[in-house]
Amino acid sequence: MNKTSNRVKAFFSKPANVILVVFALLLVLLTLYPLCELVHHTFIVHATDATVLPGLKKGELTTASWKKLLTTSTHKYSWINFYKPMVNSVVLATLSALFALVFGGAVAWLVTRSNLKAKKFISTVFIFPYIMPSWTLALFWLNMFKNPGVGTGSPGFVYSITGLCAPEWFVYGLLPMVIVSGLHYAPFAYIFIGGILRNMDANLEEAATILKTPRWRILLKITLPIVKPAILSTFLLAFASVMGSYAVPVYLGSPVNFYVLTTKMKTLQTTAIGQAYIIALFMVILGALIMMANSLLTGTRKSYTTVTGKSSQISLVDLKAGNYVITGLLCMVLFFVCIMPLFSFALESIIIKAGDYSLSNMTLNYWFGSAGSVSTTVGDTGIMRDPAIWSAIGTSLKLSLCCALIAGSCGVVIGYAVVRRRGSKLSQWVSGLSFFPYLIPAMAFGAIYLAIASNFSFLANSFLILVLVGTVKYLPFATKSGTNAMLQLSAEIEEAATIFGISWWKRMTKIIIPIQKASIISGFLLPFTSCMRELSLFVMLVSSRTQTLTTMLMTYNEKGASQYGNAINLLIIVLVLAINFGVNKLTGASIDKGVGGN
Amino acid sequence: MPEIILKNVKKVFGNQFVAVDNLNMVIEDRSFITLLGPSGCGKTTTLRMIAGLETPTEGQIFIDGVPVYDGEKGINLPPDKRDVGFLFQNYALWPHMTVYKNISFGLENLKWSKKEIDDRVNELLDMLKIRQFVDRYPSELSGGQQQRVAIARTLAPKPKVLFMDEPLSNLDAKLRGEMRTELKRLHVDTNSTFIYVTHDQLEAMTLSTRVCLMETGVLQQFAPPLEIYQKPENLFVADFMGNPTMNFLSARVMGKIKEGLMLDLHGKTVRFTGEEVSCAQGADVILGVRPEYIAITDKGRIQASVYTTLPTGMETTVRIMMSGELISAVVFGSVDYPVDQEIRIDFVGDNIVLFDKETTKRIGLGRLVVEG
Amino acid sequence: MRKTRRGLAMVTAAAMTVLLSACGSKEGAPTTAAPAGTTAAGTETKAAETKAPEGGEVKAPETEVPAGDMSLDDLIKAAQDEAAAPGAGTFMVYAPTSRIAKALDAFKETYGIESEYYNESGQDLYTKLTTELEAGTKDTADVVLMQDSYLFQTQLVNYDYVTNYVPSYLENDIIKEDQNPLICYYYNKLFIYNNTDGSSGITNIWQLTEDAAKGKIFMKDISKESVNKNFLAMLTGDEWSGKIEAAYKSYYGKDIELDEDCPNAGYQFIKNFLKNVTFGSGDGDIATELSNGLGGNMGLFVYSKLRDDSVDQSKLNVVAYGEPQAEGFSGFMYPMYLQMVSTTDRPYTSQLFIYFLMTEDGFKSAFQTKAADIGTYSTNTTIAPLEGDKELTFWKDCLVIEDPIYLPEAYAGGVLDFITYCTQ
Repeated sequence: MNKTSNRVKAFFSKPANVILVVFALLLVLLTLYPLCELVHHTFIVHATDATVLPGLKKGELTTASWKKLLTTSTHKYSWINFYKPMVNSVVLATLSALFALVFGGAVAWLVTRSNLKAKKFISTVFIFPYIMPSWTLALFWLNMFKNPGVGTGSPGFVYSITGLCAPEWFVYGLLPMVIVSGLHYAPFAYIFIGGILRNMDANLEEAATILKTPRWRILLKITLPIVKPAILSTFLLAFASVMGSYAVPVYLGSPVNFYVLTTKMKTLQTTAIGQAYIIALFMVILGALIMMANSLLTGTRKSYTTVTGKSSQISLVDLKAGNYVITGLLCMVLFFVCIMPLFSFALESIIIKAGDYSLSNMTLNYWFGSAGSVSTTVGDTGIMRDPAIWSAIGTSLKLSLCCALIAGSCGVVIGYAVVRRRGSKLSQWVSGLSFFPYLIPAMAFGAIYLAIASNFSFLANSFLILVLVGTVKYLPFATKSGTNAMLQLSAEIEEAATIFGISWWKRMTKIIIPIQKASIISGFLLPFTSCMRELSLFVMLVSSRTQTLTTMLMTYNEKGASQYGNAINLLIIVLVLAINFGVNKLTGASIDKGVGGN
Repeated sequence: MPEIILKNVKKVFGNQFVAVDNLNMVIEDRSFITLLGPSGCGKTTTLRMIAGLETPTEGQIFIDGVPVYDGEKGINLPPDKRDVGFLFQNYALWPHMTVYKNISFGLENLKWSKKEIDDRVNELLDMLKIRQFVDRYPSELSGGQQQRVAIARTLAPKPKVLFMDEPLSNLDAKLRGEMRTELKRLHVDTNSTFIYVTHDQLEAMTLSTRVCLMETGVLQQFAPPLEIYQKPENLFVADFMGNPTMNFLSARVMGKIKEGLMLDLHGKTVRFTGEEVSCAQGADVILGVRPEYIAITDKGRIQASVYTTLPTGMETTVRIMMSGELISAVVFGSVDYPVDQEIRIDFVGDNIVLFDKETTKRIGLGRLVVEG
Repeated sequence: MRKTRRGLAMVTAAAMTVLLSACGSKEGAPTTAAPAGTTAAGTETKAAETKAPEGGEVKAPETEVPAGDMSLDDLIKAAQDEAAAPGAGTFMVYAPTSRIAKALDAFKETYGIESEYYNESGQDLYTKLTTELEAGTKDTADVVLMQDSYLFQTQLVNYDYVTNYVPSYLENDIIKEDQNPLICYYYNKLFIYNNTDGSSGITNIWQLTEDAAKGKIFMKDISKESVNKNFLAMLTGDEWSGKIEAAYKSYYGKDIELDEDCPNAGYQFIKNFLKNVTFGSGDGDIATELSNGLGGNMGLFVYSKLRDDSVDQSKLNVVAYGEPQAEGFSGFMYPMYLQMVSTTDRPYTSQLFIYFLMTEDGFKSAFQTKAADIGTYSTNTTIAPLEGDKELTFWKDCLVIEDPIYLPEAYAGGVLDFITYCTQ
């Protein structure tokens, strides 16, 4: 007995252990408990279920939702509502993740390993698509390619300029969805792979060069295996993200009946919420499977941590004549997907009648107009004069800041503990758990937290509940960047202070955090950015006092006030970009640093 | 004054890997102990356990009579309560603090007065000759300068025991030599106990009062450096200490004689006489002969040929082929032999070691005479 | 927990009844206690909850009659006292439209009572409300404005979450059939077409099912807006399938032949119609793009979009205004129910607010703020439609209207599965 208590005492004398235990408990409460609730809800008859599943009463426990969703052949019910969307989701997520990998990885290689021109421009602009809300690219795609041959037939940009009609499969459906989602998550690949390539000791490649290995063989046999862990984690992140994304499939898939799990889940929410929860559960399971596969493939032994800033002069691959072609092409594509949307949103927010770009059809009234200056179904003043917008800006900023600070700080602390106790079961458990919120679709996450919050009056409709979900949902990013920051710091730096009896708190605040300042602030940027553009997570939890910019945007979009929608969209993007740049200039932190770049 | 005692200390890492096994050691006050061994032998772990940076799995550790760790009683004093200093291999200087701040930061925490801190820092700046760098950041210093700052920082609170984890391994050969001199001097000046980890046997030889030689977590020999050199406990110790390494010659016991054995060495009969010899007839043994005990002389009883010659200026190592075995001899001064030249050699000196081939333990120490 | 709360409510109710009867006829007295009527209703709700309603059972919202006929001034006074009472919770309104904010502003201006709102236009509004009501959250809605008759019936009415209140002061002005449950106003979605190629629209809804119309009909994704689903589901009822069948006969001159999977003409119409439909992301986009798009294209969207700045009205025609009107129907209409939440802690404020929204001032403060706000029709007959728009009775004649009784029946019968199947 005495021995056990001694063990326990010794165990808890280490701050890292205390942190791990505390967060293990917290995470179980905040992520595993909601997950259990999710499972529970798939067996409950809800009000909506009761009407489509005759004979059942609200509140009963039943497997009827499962049976109905998975085994109904009438009107091909199961195929249409479950199996096909499931196949679509997996295909979409896989292809998008691959596209993101290939595109992001290729650019990462070009920037780090070749004599490409305009590297600075490319590396700055490349992460724009990730900073922008995911639906912006989808909307932009439609603005570009719609034409009289598809949909309502209103002309898009490309048609107006060239008269070329893109076929329907190019405007809607799998292909554009893969391209748009892929572009959105390509920055992941760029950041992860680029980070490793930059840190990778060039000697590894040079050694092979001296052995007269051809370039492509070096790439295949040396470079690729070394960046494999980055490739796999990119794939995991992109796959899980695409799996849970709603906006892109809604804009580009639904019009041609291309349903994925998220869009189907949203549909079923109105008529059979139990079945919607089952779909959410499958999304979690798919994500968890990918996560397990990932950790199997990159065991601790196989993770090549290639730190050290030793990397000497790398001999860059000479792209020769191709240089200008590749640079030109890349810049064009980047300009197209990163800069053009901004112009497009700005333009769309000032024209009155869509499609008419003459000066007489333009007005700034949607931005600054006084009451009565515009006529739409939702409003009659410019958004900058609308106090609701200002309060939404305030809420969005405050919310994102709170989430970023809390999630970021937790991330640093978890990262610290996980790295210090690396290899222990507890540390693996905590880092695994902290990744879980990423796998639960935002929509389901919001719904579960609504149910939880309703039981606590101080949470319901409060700002606090928004902060809570935002923090938990974005903890994975923060933990990842916290872990990265800690991995770069040798334990000796801390031990040198331990020897002097400097308290843990002081070691963190005076030694560890100041040294890794840039990395740590970067870890705050990612939750901040994600929070600024999050919609589905918060939509059910906001109240009139806590409207965010995105929920306002949704309101306007739903009502078809596209000028307002575009204006708010632009506002969000500009705010996020401005804050990112500001923080970058002030502290040297940046999003890419946060997730493991350099 | 501090005497460090380790009793049955064991450290097992998570995955059942035994890093240190049943270690017993008494480190006397004001000694300069070297923990020596190949990489992965558990020497750094031992050091960190004494310092309190690592928690042993079982056993007891006392510093100055005070139990700082006791697995049974659940005592585990944190490093700062052990009154020790630690010098890290990579210096672990805090990159965001100036040299002055690096040295003073720990003292501030020990609640020293501003005046005391300033005095102490200045004293160290002079002692280690780094006054001109006082306002620089670590990244603006060379390796050797960083090393001095690290030493100053470690010495600042006047620790009774100073731990050093391969502190010189990142320096170039010349600087390393200089720092060795200073460390040895520092040991006397600071009047404290030094515990030093290295894998360099020369460093251990030159610096320490006692060497603790370890292999795969097990203590092999704990003795003054010269004793380890002259009277190695076993083959591993004999092989690890000394450069060029000891020559090992296989032989077979032919019979006992007074105060010794008759051995068969590659068909030659040799007589081994010395203390504490004990061995059965017909047993396989190994003769350990330091290169300096092999003399090249015309009167030598053994025929051999020169394989190659490696002069260093002050002395020359001659690699010799003897009955198909390659051995080394050291000759003072610069000599050169043509390759394959026929020579004659002989064994000299009193410290030829006899090992049991099976147990690898030392079973005798004495002279070797070639009978014919 | 919940049991205790329920028990407590009953005890309080009983105690209050005693108290009130002791007080005699001082109903209008400035007291923070709820009126007897409300308390009784509250108790009844709780009792009803214990015997959970059958899945398919249809309930009518119970009607609230204020205790004694309170004068309007008394109601205002009581509501203001409620707001001023110590510990008064927030007066909260949930609505599917952000315009509610304006109504609340006007409400405050008129009566000096502060309030808040939550707006979300889809299922989330119901999910939020029912989750909160189930959990007994204090700050949940006091008054709700709800669309989608199906969800309204199956999620709120069937569980007695809402209580009907018709302000007696307006009883004679509000259309009788829209009083129980009280409907604040109707929205309509109309077939509107692009006339730039000289199209003259349709004369019979079966024209929409012909191959020539393929890809030329646009409506909002039915999965994104449930009223669209309800519209289609309504077509399978006896009333509309009959009209559709008749329209078929008059257009093709022969009786309709039904496919195997179509039980009546309504199903057959849905099947043939959906083949030609393209789903858009929102009514606004559809309206805008329709006016920019090809001639002959047909949209089904909220009438008010026609007056949006971004829509070129001159290029669009409304089918319902055709001479003669298209046989069958010209679009659909859906009600916006205005109800008191049964467990409200601000009953007088709720009643006053409902009254306010039903008056011309209240209605116009939010839903007819400008000439462009066509397509919204108050059930208060004294409120005239905006210029260029028609009376509610005109629309009731030519549009499909949601029926909260038939819809749950239809959904239970698998109409939705059929519709989903047809969209593939």
